[in-house]
Amino acid sequence: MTDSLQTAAALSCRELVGLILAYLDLELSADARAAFERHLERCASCGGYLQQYRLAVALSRRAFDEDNLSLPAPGELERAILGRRPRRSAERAKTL
Amino acid sequence: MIHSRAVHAWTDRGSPPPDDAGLLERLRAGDEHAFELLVRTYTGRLLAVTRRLLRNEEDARDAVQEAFVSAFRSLAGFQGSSQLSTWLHRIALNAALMKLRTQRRRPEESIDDLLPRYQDDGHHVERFVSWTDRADRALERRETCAYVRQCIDRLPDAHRTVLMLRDIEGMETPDIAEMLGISPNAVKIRVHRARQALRTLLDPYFRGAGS
Repeated sequence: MTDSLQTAAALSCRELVGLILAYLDLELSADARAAFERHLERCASCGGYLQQYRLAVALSRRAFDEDNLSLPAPGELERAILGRRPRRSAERAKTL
Repeated sequence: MIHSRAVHAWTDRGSPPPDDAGLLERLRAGDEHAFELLVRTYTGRLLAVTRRLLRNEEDARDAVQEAFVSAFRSLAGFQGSSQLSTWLHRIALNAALMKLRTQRRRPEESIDDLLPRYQDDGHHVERFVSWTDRADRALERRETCAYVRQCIDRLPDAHRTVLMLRDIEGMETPDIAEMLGISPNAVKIRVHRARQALRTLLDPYFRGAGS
């Protein structure tokens, strides 16, 4: 993702959108960040786009939150896994 | 050091994980009860991880089984530089990715059709208005979660995978790059395009906050 933009000039919407990931990850230089925020001040549509982008990330995270709440494992799967655990040599000899 | 939001979620909820150092020592000694404890503690959690990536119950279970077998083989070499849960999480993700490569490819939408369009001067063609405040609250409804998941499932596999690893599994870009064998820059490009495409798919629903 490019951070080599002409920060002195105004960003276009296309350029701003190309920098959103770096902006949210705090990876933009101070100049690039300032140019990004200057564009946001005068472009309501990019402001709307950024809000939607942020929400899409937050919503996708929350959509899977419940996965970690209920974690019953199928007994047959646990048994199959335990059947493949390494055996001690004495134990192995006993089963032969 | 691997960071994972999903792994932290494990330890925040439910019963605390067993003490790593003690458990590892017993596992390396071949203690049968230690293996039982490991499997009973982590199978459900790893299954949740592989289900998210694979969307197929049989493949998800196979991947968990392969992950444990791989972990059993690697126990001697595990240095304990990360938590046991983090180590297992990474092994399960790898097993799921291996399985994903063997799955039959689905017909996919073109990602380009889901990205924003621009005029010749670089301005947006479409006008974007913030989603209503209710969009955030709408996710408390079960059907909204299901809708978001369906939208993620519509993403092309290469993009869906990086989105899942980064935003759901909480992995860092360099770790994803290493796992997928691509450059960190390629990961960033895919994550960004995947998020943009997801935004497009969610827009009709959240513009009206699912009402």
